[in-house]
Formats: sequence, structure tokens, C-alpha cells
Amino acid sequence: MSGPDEKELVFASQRGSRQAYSLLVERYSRQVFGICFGVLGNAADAEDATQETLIKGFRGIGTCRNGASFGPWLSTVARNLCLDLLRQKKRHQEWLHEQTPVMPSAPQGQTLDLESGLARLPMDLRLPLLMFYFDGQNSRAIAEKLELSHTTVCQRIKEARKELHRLLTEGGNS
Amino acid sequence: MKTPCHDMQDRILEMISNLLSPQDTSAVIEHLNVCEGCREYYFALYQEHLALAAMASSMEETRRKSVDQAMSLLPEQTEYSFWRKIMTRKIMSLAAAAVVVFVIGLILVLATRTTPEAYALQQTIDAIKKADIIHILGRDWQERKVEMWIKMNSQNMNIEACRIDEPEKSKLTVCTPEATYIYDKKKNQVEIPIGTGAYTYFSMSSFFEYMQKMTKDLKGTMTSEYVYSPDFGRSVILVDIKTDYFEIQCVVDKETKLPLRVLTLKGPQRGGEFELLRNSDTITYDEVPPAGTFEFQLPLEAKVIDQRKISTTPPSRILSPAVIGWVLKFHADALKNAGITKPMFTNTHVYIVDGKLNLTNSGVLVAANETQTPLSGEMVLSGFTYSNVEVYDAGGIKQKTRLVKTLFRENHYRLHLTPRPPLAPGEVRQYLWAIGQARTLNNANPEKLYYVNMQNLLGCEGLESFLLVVPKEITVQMKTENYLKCERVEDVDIYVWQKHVNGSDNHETKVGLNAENLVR
Repeated sequence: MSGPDEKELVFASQRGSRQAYSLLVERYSRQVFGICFGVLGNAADAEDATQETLIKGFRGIGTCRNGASFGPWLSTVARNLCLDLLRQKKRHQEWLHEQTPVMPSAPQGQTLDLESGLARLPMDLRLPLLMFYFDGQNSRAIAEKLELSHTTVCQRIKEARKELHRLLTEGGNS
Repeated sequence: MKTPCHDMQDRILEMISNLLSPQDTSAVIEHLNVCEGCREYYFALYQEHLALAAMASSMEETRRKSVDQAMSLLPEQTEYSFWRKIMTRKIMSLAAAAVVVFVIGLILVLATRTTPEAYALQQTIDAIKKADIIHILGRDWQERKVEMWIKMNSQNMNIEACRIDEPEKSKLTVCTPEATYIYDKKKNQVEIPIGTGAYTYFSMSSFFEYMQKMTKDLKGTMTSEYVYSPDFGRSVILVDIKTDYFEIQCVVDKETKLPLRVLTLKGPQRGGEFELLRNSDTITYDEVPPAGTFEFQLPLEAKVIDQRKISTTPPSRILSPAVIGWVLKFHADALKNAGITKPMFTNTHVYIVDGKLNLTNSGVLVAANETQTPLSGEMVLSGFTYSNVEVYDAGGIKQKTRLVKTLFRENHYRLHLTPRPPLAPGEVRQYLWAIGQARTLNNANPEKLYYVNMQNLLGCEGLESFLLVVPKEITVQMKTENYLKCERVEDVDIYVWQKHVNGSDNHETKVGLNAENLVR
């Protein structure tokens, strides 16, 4: 990657440079947004979670020990934050005694729109699929970021497409 | 809908997601040509693929909003001082070091005079305002020579340009309003760092304010006396300052109030404002610099590392499908109009400026199937002088391409494109190409405009269009040629210049963009 060296940007950010951090954000915000959307399943929550991840990233950048691996470090921050949000949401639903799933099934015979279809995909399929579309459509890079094998990522993207197609054409009433 | 073949479904899914090898892709396409069920399945998946890509593209604004909000909410870091901001770049450290040192001297001298401080300070400010050129001959901490020329902007007290020659380090740095060049003579290598020139980095008035604060905060001791200086052949003011942080001896001209010499007796050798220039042995003002002092000529065969060229996001991320669609339709219309009276070559160049003021070169290319059968294999299209061209269809989807070096022609490549879906007989399809790198524009000029130069030598008669795509907050303030029209499509304005050129015309248009209203 051209431009300023990533390690230098991380060190400058650790010293408090917002300008350096903004350059890191420029490089990784698509990845973060893809992860947040992938885990949470809807754009509105992903927007808030991206914002929170980036702020948390700046506050905690002192704990990023190896400047060169900022990308994976920020991915972990994003993923943990989203999983926390999901857990909170689940607890909140339990507290409300809601037994209904997050996304109700479409009425019989009615198809889903794209975002509803995505929201109904299992997270382990949705995450690589959305990273694929949000972050440059490179399955090898996704495998690296998710710490999965390339074959697994390809398989999950394929499964996600298959399931999404089923949801969009059959309305998900299996 | 007919059912797709069970054993082909996975392969079609893999092909749509670019996960299939070229050989397997060809086999699947052959099957699609003969199987209606699979073909229907393929087109349904392809539509979903387009929808997913368009959704990712439309979410770009949401992502940008999150980023902007996050950046505006970042906590302030108080320990990150003004010094550090200035000293981020070595070039400016050096420039700043010299000026800082003499400013320290100035303030301390003025503070110890018997005349009222405010009055003396004003005298000095006035004196510095009158100086256009500052010439320093000095040394670093290893006693290596440093020569520095600084050109001040008398209107705003900023450094307009500077030249720093470090002969013993084989290093020359020239900072112009357009760019900073760091030349390593031994390696014959020029580095052009990212960012704007000296212009935006240095504010003399801020320095005064900050230095006043620093002198107070450091609680240093100052002594001053009038002495006769044999070196200067006249009576001068000699000022000594001692703090825990540094010790400076400064010689100031009694009449002009300008510093003549600043010596650092003690100071941090690394990471601070004294790092690159310890002593300013001789400081002169308004000396006429040798011709070309503030210009940089690229040495012969020098290797250039231009960090201003940064990786860019693909155009599909910058431009929504609606904008790409508008551009491609514009070209199709131009092609149609150019052919009304007689067939004419039509060329459309697109200059895309994103919200971060990165400029990407782009244009339109056309793939046409003049045969009677669908074309699914690789087609050879335009030639390029770039080795990193990306191609997008009207849905903003990146196409499968490869660039093949042209034999016997330097820096020239042929674009090979595999059309997806296959080109139907008689179909003419428009694509947007864009080079995979962007250049960051800068406004380091007195007008504070971001200049874009649009130029092409078509080499034959034709109708040539330049499209300039800018965020709607950016306005065209200066132009060397009137534009034909400007249309707003979603969040961008598209300016159109069009010219009927003959073979020898070099079509060139320069515009100056005002980005004051752009929130970055």
C-alpha cells in the first residue's frame, strides 16, 4: 500500500494525532462497516457500530502493540463490539419476554427485499458475503481478516448466495 | 421458471462470485449457451449480484457519515503539543527549527530590553514583516553544514517556499507551494511526500503566541547586554537564555531588531525543534537568492517516489450506479449526436474528484458485438499507458479484465475484457474505465484553489468531451474554457466540456476548484 507507512501512522495516532488516525480510518472504515453490517445484519445498527468502533479504536490504540497489524486489531474491536451489541439486544428481548425472532418470516408466498433477506441469513454466512461486497470483493483478504481458510470463506460466500437466492425467491418459508 | 441442472448450480454460484478458474468459467458458459434452466438461474443470480453491489455502493454515504461523526467525536489529546504537529515532517522541522530559534531569540531579547515589551515586540513584528527572504548558514548537532533559504509571504506571515541544502548528508530539500521534494543525491532518488507545501504548515503569528507561552511556562532565566561584536563590527544586543530544556545565545541587531546569529548551547538533539539545525551562524535578510533557489528540477534519471499518488477506492465506491449510468448514457448520446452529419470518433474522459480531494482519471470505453453469436470470451479493447486500469459496468460492478503489455511500445498496455453477461449479437455496451490510483489535489497556492488540468491529444478528428465529477459542495471558480453544461446527479455535480477536435488539436482545459464548503 502506498502513502504513509502504517506503523508510523499507528505510532502517531498513539501519540494523539487525529490526522494520522483519520488516514488509518480512511484505509479501514470499509472493512469495519462490512464487519458491522455482516454481524448485525442491518445498516442502521452498522452505522452506529462503525462510529463506536472508530472512536473506541482511537481511545484504545495504545493497546495495538504491533503497528503493522492495525487492520486485524481494528477488525477484532469491531467484531467484539458488535457481538456485545447482539448480546445486549438478546438480553433486552428476553427482558421484554419477546419470543419472536428478530426478523419475522415473510407471509406465505411473499418474497423478501434484499436487506430483509440479508438480515435473515445466519451471521457466519452473512459476514463474509457482505465483506465481499463492501471491501473490494477479495475472498483471500476476507479469509485473512476472519482468520479462516480461503476454502471456508469461498464455501460460505457460495452458501450465503444460495440461501439469499432462496429467501428472495421463496420468501424464506422453508 | 425452468429448474437449473443440479450439478451446475454450485458452479454458476461460484462463477457469479468470481470464485471460478477461467477454464471452469468457459465450461459453465458453454453449458449456459445450451441450457435454458441454468441460463435463467444465472441471470437471476446476476441480478442479485448487481443489487448487492448497488446496495454496497449506496451504503457508501452511510459509512462516510459514520466516519465523519466518529472523527468529530474523537477525544482531544492534550499531551499532543503544537510542536509535535509542526514537527511531524522533517522538512518543516528544519524550516521551523531555524525560525523558531531566531524567534526565541527575538522574544527573549525584547523581553529583556529596557524599552516597553509591547512596543519592542511590535517593532520586531514589523521588521520581520518587511523581510521577504531569510538566508541562514548554520550547522546541525554533528557540525555538518546546513544552508537554508526561506521565502516569506509578507501578507500572511507564512513560509511560501524554502530550500534546505545539507551537502555533507548529500541531501537537498525544496519546498514549493505545489510540493515538497526531498532529494537524496547519493541514491539519485527524489521523494515527494504527501500533503501540501510549506504554505499551510507555518504561521508566524501562531509561533509568537506559542513562544510567549512557552517562555513563560518554562520559567527560564534571561540576561541581555549591549556588547561590541568584532564579528559583526558593531554594537549588538547579546541575549542569553537558560531553561531546563535549552540554552540559547542570540545576537540581535540594535537598529533593525532582527536576529543575526542564534546558537543553541543546550537542547534536545533528537525529536525536537533543535534536531536538524543547532546553530544559525549567519542570518541575513532580503539577500537576492540565486536563480531557481525555490524551484526543483528533477535530476536526470532520478528515481521518483511520489507519495502523493495514493491508492484509491474503486470508482464504484465513489460514484453511485446512477452517476456511472449518467456518464455512460452521456457517452452513448454523444456517439449518436456525433454521427448525425457524418460518423465521427467520440471520446469521453472523466475526471473524478472525491470528497477527500483525490483525483482519479477515468473514461468510457465501448464493447460491441458485431457478430451473429453471443460473445462470452475475452475481447481486446482500448490501449492504455497505465498498468492498473479497472473497468466497471453500468451497475458499478468491477469487470474481469487483464492488461497485456504491448510489444515494442514502451509503457503501453492492451485491455482484455471478459464481458459478463455475454454480449448479445448486435449489442453495444458501455463501460467506465478508471486507473487504480488517485492523486491528491492540493490548494497550496495564494488563490487556495484545487487545480485540475484536463488534457488529451486525440490524434484524429472527433468529438471530445471532458466530464468533471465533483461533490456538490465543490464549485468551479476558475476555468480556461466555458463548460457546456453542469448537471447534478445525486450528490455530485457533473461539468461537461465538449470540443470538436481535428487530428493535431491538443485539447486542454484547466479548472480551479473551490472546496471551502466541503466537509472533510
